[in-house]
Formats: sequence, structure tokens, C-alpha cells
Amino acid sequence: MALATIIFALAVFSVIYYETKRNIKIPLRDFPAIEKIRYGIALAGEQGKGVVFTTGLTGIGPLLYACLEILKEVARRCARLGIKLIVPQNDPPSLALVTKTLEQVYAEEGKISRFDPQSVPFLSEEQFAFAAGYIGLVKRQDIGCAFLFGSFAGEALILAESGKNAGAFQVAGSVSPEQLAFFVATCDETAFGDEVYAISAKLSQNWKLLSNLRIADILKLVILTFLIIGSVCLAFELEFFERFRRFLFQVG
Amino acid sequence: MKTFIFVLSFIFGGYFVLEFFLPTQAKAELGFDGFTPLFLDFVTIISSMAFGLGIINLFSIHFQKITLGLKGKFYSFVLLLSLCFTLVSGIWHFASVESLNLRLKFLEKMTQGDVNQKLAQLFPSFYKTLVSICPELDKACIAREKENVKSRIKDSDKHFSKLIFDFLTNAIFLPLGAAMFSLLAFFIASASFRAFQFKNIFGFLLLLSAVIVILGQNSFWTQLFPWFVELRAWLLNNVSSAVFRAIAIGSIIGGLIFSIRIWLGLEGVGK
Repeated sequence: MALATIIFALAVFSVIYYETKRNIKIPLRDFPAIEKIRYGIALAGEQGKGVVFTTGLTGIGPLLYACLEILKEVARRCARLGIKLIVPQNDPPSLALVTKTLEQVYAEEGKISRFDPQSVPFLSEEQFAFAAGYIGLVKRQDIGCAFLFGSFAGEALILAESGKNAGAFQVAGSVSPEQLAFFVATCDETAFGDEVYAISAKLSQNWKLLSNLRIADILKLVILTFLIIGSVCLAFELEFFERFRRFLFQVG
Repeated sequence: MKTFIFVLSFIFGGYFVLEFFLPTQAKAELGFDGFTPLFLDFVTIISSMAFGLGIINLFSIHFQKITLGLKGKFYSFVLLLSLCFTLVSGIWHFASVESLNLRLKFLEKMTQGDVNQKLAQLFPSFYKTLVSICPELDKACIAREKENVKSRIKDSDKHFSKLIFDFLTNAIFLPLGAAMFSLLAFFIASASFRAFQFKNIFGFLLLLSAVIVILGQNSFWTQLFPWFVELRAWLLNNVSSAVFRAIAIGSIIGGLIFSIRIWLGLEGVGK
């Protein structure tokens, strides 16, 4: 519990600290997935086919907001190039948020007439009913490029394979470690775990998202330090480690 | 309005933060045990309102397809018909069983003490029915009526609405879900055939680990080479799970920072 308190307190302090330091430069490395996103949309445009963007089983939460930043970039490019974009949904509250976001992006691009609210269809809240709807949608709508970003479960491979069978260029990113292997096997590019958050920060260049990444790196460093200390103590069977371990993980 | 939303989200978010970090004794003294189920009920009620959004979207898309005579209108008709049918049967069954459960709770309260006037005001129709059955409202009569309601609750399993709902769930919905799930077996085979190719060092490692895990689970192979079981276990428990945990830690930390920003009102969502 002490460890959780330390991490949480550090996170809160870091968020407030970085909120006051907006002039700090935060460099980010390049992500291959970003180039592939742009390439995929251009490819679909050349072929005269549509683009599908799915957030899988992601509900309202931090991951959905990160995926929305990526969706905004995809929608912006599709609006400019006149490419049809379809965003099938699994969660009703997310449906309203995604529709509003897309409408906003199309309005900013001056292409509000191209925005069709029916391009955000609600398929089903049930996992495999959603997958069945997605298979049908990909086949019927002649999709040239598919993006799968968010949280996925068993239906991940079904979604990715149906896109592959339709000949679509696919880019995926998931925080579900079990499904990443399926995406690596089926998609042209895959973003692992918190790369989804990093890609959304890089695409949006939103200072808040960039500072989130810096804070996440600091916290990961702290956790890594504890891991190394723990591993060394266990390896050398140091006596104080048992007391230290109980202090860190005791639940009150 | 924004300030009001921020204050609400800060208070409720702060409650759950304290609920996680406070020691059990402190939580009991502050009365947290009573609030948590109440707040979780709030979440359930608000989430259930979101179902309406999905139903409205389904109706708007598919009804338009039917009325405009677009391609696929027959399937849209089937979808809307099955949606209405399932909804009606589910609500019918819920209403018939839940009213009996409410009546049972009402009768149990009646036998506990003299709260007759309050109950009469809260549930006038139940009270009226009870008075028509037991004019004296004596305990023996109420106990008989309780047994009667209990047996009707038991018999509700044979109610027509339950039969329809069970048929829709057990005979249609679950087999369809199982059929979709079974597609995974074939998709895994086709994805493996494409992915496990000896083209470069990473492809080779992928192929090697897949072969080790598959053969390590095969009873015939492990009889011939028993050490394959330990090799497979080592691969899964040391290499694979370490990577899983690393990815999970990264994802959770990313989500934690975002959640803290939303909690403190520092994140303009949707802007």
C-alpha cells in the first residue's frame, strides 16, 4: 500500500508541477505507426476505398481519449481527401463522444457537409456480435485501410483477420498484451501498450498529452528502481528486504 | 456548468481515492461501507441510461434503410424485429417476476413490525390487495400469503415470458456467440501460417517460440521429450509474462496520469 501511495502522490505532484511549467520542451522519438497511418489513408484514397477506425471494446476513459486524438488525425486527413470514414462503435456513451468529435473535426476542416452521422454506427455491446457486425461492414463497405486502436479481447483476431481478408492495410495499437501477438501477426504495423498514448501525444502535439508522457516515464523509472532494489535484495537474501517488502505492500 | 461538473467529479473521484488508500478501520469509522454500494448503484443507473443511446442509433440507421428501400433493408428489418421481440419478452418477464419479489419484500416488512401506515402509503396497490385477502391483517394470514407469493416466484420459471426469453438466449444468442468464437480457431491457423515464417531473425524467434509452446502441450511429444514441458513453462512464465507485465505497467501508468488530470479538472476532454 505504501508503494501505491508513493506512486499516486508522485503522480499528483508531477501533474500539478508540469501544469505550471508549460514552457518545458518535451522531445519525442519517431513512431513508425504514425507514418503507416498516413500511408494507409493515402493508399485507401488512391484505391478509391474507404477507411474504418475501430476502438474495439474501449469504454469511456483515458484510453478512449487517447484513441480519439488518433481518430482526429485520421478524420482530418479523410475529410481533406474526401475519403469515406466509418467508425463502428461498441459502447453507447463512446458513440456520442465519437460522433461529436468527428463533427467537430469536419467543421474545423470546412467539410461539415461531408460528415454523415451514420458513419458512426452502433453495432452491439456484445463482444462477438460486434465482431460479426464488423466483418459484415468491412466486406460490404469496400475498405482499403483499417485502424484498430484501443482495448480488445477475444474478438481482436476476428477483426484483424477480416480486414486482412478484405485486402485492407491495417495499423493496430492495443493496451491488451494478450491481443498484441494477434495484431503483430495480422497487421502491417502495431503499437504496443503505452505507445498508443505516445502516438496520440505526438499526433496532437497537445502540451498536456506530452507532459503526461514525461510524467509516465518518471513513474516508470521509480517503479524500475524499486524492481532493481528488490531483485538485488532477493538475489543476495538481504535481511532488511523482508521488512521493506512488508512496508511497501502491506494492506491496512 | 463546467465548475459544477468539475466539483462533482472531484468529490466522487476523491471519495474513491480515499476508499482505496484509507485503512479498513478508518473507513469503518467514517462510514464508507454505506456509501460505496450507493455510489455503485448510481453508476449502474447512469450506465443503463446509455443503452437508450445505442437503441436510438440502431433504430435511426436501420429504419432509414427500410423506409428508403436501400440495399440490405431486409436484414435491417430482421434486426429491428428481433431487437423489439427480445426487448418486449425481457421486460415482460422482468416485470412479472420483479413485482412478485417486491410483493414478498412488502409482506416481510409487514410481519416485522407495525409500519402499516407507512407501507400503505408507499405501496397502496399491494396494501389494498393484502387487505382484500387478510381483512384483519393478522400474522397467520400474512404468513400464508407470503408462502403463496414464494411459490408463485418459484413457478415463474415456467412463465411464458421466461420461456421466450430463455429460448432467445439459449437457443439463438449463445449458439451464435459460440459460432463466432469458434471462428477464432480457423483465424489463428491462417494468421499463424502467415506470421510464422523464417524470413529474418525475429521471424525465426517467433517461429521457434510458437513451436516450443505448441509441442510442449502435446501429450505425445512430451512423452518422448519430457523436458519440453519445462522449457515451455520457462518460456511462458519468465519471458512471456515479464513482457506482459512490462506492457501492462506502461498502459496502467499512462491511464493513471490521464485519470488524475481528469480528476483534478486539468484535462479539457474533447477540446
